[in-house]
Amino acid sequence: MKLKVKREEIQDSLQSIQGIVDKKSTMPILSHFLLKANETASLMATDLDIALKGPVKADILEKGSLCIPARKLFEIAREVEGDILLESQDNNWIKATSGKSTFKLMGLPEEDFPALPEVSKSEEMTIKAEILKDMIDKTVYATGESDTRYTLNGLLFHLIPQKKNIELKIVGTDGHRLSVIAVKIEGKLSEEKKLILPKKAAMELKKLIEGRTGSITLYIAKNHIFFSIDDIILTSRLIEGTYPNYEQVIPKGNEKKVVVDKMTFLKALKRTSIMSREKTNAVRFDLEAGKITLISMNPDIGEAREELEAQYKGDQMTVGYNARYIIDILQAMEGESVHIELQEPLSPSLLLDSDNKDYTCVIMPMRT
Amino acid sequence: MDADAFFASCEQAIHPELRGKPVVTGRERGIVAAASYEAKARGVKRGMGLFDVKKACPDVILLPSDYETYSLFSVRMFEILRRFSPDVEEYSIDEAFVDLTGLRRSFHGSYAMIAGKIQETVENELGISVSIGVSLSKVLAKTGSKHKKPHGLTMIPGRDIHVYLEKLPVEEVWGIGANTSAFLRKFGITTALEFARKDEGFIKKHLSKPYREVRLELNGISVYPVVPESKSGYQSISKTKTFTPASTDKTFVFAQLSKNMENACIKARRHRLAAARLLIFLRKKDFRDIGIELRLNRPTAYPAELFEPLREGFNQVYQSGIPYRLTGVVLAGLMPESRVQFSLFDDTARIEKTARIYDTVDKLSARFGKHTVRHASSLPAKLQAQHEGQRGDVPVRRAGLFRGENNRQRLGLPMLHVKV
Repeated sequence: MKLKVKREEIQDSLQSIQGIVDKKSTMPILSHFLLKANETASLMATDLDIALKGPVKADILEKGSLCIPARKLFEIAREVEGDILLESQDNNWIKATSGKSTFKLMGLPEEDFPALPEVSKSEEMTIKAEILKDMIDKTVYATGESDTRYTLNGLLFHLIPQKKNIELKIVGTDGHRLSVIAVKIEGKLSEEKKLILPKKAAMELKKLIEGRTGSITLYIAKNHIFFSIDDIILTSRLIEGTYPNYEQVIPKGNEKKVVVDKMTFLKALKRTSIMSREKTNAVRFDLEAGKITLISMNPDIGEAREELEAQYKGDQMTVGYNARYIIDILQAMEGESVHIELQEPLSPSLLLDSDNKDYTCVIMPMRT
Repeated sequence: MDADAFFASCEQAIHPELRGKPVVTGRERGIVAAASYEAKARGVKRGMGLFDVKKACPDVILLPSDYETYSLFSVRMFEILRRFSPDVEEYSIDEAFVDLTGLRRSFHGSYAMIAGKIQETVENELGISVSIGVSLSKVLAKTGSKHKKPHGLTMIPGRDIHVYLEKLPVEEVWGIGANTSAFLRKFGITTALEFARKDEGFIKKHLSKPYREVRLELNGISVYPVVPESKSGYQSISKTKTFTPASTDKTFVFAQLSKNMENACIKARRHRLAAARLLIFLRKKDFRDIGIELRLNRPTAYPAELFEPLREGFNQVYQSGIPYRLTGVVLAGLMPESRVQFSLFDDTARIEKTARIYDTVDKLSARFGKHTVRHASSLPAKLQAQHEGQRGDVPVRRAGLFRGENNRQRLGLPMLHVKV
């Protein structure tokens, strides 16, 4: 194998797989990527749960393929100044030359690279890249990190077949907060599907889409999902198990309604939470007609209090929240104001974006 | 202050006929829990198997442990100490630190005199002997209390510190363990005095903060204050129980585990705590332990909510055909029950119902005795004796009851076996 690549080209490609290649794995092959040079060149990396495969622009002087240490070649590409010439040598050695620098790296044979699942064309649908990225942004912060409810450690892709298209709902929850966003996408689907995408795959997918326009195609296999954009394919294993019934915990008919200016609310909350306990981030909300008073207390440090105007007509009520959870939601919302719907001090509260009726957030209040 | 052969002394106190005789407690465990000085003189040591005890000392009197009586003596002992100083730290069931600073005036005498009076009062009122060390810091006082036993009274004034530390191996200093002493030996430090005299820089370079503090304490500079509060906050609650003979019956072993879990939950609820993690372990007949830790969805102290993880963990560690002799449960990650947060997927109505059930169970227990209501899965552990054969003996306090007492509810008084 012998090929010449532009420094920026190989650096970008290697950058995109740094999150996937494992630096400290017990399987050395997983810290390598597979470089294939046939008519065109491509690279492939995997951690056995997620895999990324994409083209690399290169002048192919001699065909072949080899597994190359991803981190080291990335560091080389970052430091050298001109094009890079990659040449395979005996015993899986690879020589990288750029300008007057020469590097010799120990590679591994192609056969050692794990076999990746092939894209199966059974179920296929497309979605605009920026819409999918936005959906991930609006839900991924709510996913959990638990070993008992491991299905919550991923994003739920809930696909509901409609007459002409498909409704896609993406859900993230850690059991204390939940965010759902719904959108209609093109495609055909035989039956309703609930797929759980690991959080890491969701983050990689977000990185992959970032800065790209156009459409992304989803292919669904039994245990895997494939995302394809600009000839790049991201494959992920799906989390097995049953996702809890999220629709059931979205409160319907909460009677107490509050409308508040989003930015004012966000800033006030950030200020008030400075004084709350670090572990719980608890902020107390005292609601009364026309205003909300935010109060935080930490017996070791002190307290904070801030009043803000709000449209509220109901009875006086006190409720506690983890400020971090609300801040996350407000930062994901785009509208000018936020609607909060409550019932009891300890029953789930609903947060809605004034500009996006398809975005629903639920928070479990805290005991105050 | 450190009581001498505490458990054995208590037995001799309530059974005057045993005074002056070799007495050993711990029969139900099969090993020596405590040995009286008469037994120690014949070569009996703590942790020795009972078979070896009988070989060394054929006329030994073996008694089952009667923790109820011991803790009654312990409480009384600490009460006596509080008559002398308000600052009493209950360090263990038979050890306490008393801060005597500034009390010479009110007792019109020296520290040695006060200590002598404490010793005399405890021995006269409770009939057990204790040893006392008096010095400038807790570490030195503790060293003094062990210096001469039984019935020792050791004063370590600042000018004499070196005399006591010279011959004291460094591993016998409170706070220095086997690993640290092995490490210190590499630098030629074998005695407490060598450690105390080593320069600060060396300690700072090689050892962590607690050792710097121990060094200061050894030099007579008090770093650790006497902490009078009784222990209130718990990090974790553990309950373990041995049973004999070892069992291969899965239902029985699980019942033992279930009983421990129920007991740990009772204690947690008494302190209004809930556990975020559950640890379970089993000890095989060959004394090898196997265990597992489970993180819970929501902190709880209700057995009904813990049975699922308990069963799951048990099934993971239990191997059929292997005899087990002990089970244990640890409730960890404790937090005040009032701070437990509900999650979106919790059925709050059901949790509240569970809370009401256990509230009632606890009320019934307060009225009719512990375990008035228990889970059926623990039943096999109740139906079968915890220890069969000689080990199954009931502690003396429970064998003879005062009028109106029952197996679960007894007066807070030791029963003296004296013929009047």
